[in-house]
Amino acid sequence: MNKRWFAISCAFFLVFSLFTQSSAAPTLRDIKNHWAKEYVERAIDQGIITGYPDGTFQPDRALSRAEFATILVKADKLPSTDKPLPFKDVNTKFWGYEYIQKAYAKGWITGFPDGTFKPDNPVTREQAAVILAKKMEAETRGVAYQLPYANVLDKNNISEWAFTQVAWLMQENIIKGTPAKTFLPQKSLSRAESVVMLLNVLDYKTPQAKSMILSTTTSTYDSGLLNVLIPIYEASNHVKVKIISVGTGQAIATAKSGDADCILVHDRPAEDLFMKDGYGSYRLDVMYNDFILIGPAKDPKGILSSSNIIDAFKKIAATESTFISRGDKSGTHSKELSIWKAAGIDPNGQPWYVSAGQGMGAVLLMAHEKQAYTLTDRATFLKYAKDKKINLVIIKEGSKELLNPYGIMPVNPKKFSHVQYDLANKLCLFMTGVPGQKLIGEYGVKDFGSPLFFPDSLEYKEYLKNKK
Amino acid sequence: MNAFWQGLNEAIVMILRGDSATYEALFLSLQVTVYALFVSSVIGFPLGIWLAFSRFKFKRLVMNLIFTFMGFPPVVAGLLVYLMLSRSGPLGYLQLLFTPTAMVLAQILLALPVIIGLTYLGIQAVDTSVWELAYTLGATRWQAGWMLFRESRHAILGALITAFGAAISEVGAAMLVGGNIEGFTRSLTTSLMLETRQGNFSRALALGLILLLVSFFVNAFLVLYNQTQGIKHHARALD
Repeated sequence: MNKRWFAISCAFFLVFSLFTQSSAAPTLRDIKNHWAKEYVERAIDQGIITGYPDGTFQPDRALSRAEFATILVKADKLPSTDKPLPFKDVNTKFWGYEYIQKAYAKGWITGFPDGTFKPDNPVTREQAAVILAKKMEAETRGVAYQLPYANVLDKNNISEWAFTQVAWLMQENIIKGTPAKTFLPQKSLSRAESVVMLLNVLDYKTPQAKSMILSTTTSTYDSGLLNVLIPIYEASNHVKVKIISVGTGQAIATAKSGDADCILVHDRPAEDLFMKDGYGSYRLDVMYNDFILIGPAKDPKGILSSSNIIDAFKKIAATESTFISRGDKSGTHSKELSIWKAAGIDPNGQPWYVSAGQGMGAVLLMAHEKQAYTLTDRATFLKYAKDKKINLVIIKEGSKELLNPYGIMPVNPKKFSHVQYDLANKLCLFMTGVPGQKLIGEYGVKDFGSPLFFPDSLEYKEYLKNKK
Repeated sequence: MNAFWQGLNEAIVMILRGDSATYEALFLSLQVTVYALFVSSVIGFPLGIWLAFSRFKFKRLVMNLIFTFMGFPPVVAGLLVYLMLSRSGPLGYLQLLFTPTAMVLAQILLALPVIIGLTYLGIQAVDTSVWELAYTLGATRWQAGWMLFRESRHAILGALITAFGAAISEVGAAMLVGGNIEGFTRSLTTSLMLETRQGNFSRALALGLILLLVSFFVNAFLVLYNQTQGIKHHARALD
């Protein structure tokens, strides 16, 4: 009995061991003590990369662009494609043609502006970052790059076309800088480094989305700017931003009661008070647009002839022309009151002064119906005028009193421990960072012919100065 | 009037095309109102019945209060709920502000007095001799009460229809406590407010028409249910 069991178990173990024998080749001799040893072995196991016939791996040797495309394609086991390659320097006889073709069909590689691909050039670290970000279909423009780049001393050496991608990959812990706190963007990627990066990409799991509340004003929201900016921020940071758009007073009150994580408004005195009372963690300039005085095209009392905005207001009072006021303690309302003050006029109670107590859109429509004058921000006016909802024209613009600056502030976690400070901070950094500012400056150009907002953050102004 | 025809046209297009934003808003409005009505009914109907039978010292004052609250300004109800649920408020730790649950709570505040008040009045209108008769024939208090409830079902239905209409069409409270957050707390009425504010009149009218359409179908269902019940009742009486 025992002998039989012994024989059977022996046979079992023999057969078992045959099937479980590691399919890897014997360990390549030059990676035994390499820092990337485990990654390399895993990559070889998965058939992504192989060693050289002479039994070495050469982990620190530079990887060519063609080789990089190849390992990416091998990792994903992409199907064949018959899309031809447009590159002048890659013909069908090239060893890596099929791999490059597959990578190109997926949109991972684009080549150089001169129509070449330069397949045998070493792939640089920043080029690899861009290709990997494309492979991951990542939205990188919304990254708060200031955070990962805080420890990257050579961030200004990173090419503009790779700037957000490198930051995003660092944020997601897919790539790291060197121990010397540099990134070395133009350095050639080594075989070991490429393996580590690629495996990090394959192992990557999209984190669960968190949510935060942004409190802002109706005019900001109605301009449509946030519908462009916020989704980009959300995609880059795995966040759902809930936007509450109400009058300035209510927006600030919401933040003051801890019901919002971040606030974006345009009422400097109120913002300063918010900061002074300790409700905001910090305040950053974001952008500005300007206010304009609009009124009936006919302009019966000749307000158009005024020399500046204060003069115009004086004339409106003098001719008792109907003027519609927001009357709701909004940023627009504050600006309007400051101009009356500068003109030395108190319009309250006057029969020609209509205090609406409503949002900008409603007031524009009211001014249209009454063919009256009102102060509005340019963005809302352009939007309404474009859709031909109102028949009013610009009467006065351009005075310095008419600038409408926006500020963004994260709600202070010291006052409200539950606020999502981390997310609010990233949102503020994104909106004041260079890619976010560029997006702000582009908004509206296509639809209205001129931008609706002018980017104005400290960081952006520094960037423009350094560019010159 | 042009906006009206445009609105009608847009309403049809939005319904047929399955415009996702509209349907999302529609389902949210229905969900919130149905939940609110359910809770209000569970509390309100028994309370209304009890009040109809009870006699206590300050009853007139209590009934007066209930009738007053039937006309509660929705914005005030919203403001009260907002202050309760705000992070700085007593129930802030529940983190319910700017959620559909908050909208339900605000609508309960509006619907509950309506249901209590109209149930009370409805029962008062029914001849209480029915209840007394049932009682003398051996019914328990609860059975007699249930009989009376069924007799006054027209009034009950009236309460339900009125409360439904008030709840689903209100916007002030929903805006305040919900926040009109896209894809989360944007109901038909708050969408309507947003479109109006942005000057998209025809789209706002379209949303309004859809809201009326929904109310129409819900009420049709309630009325039909009431009629079949009526037929059953009369049929039984003929045996």
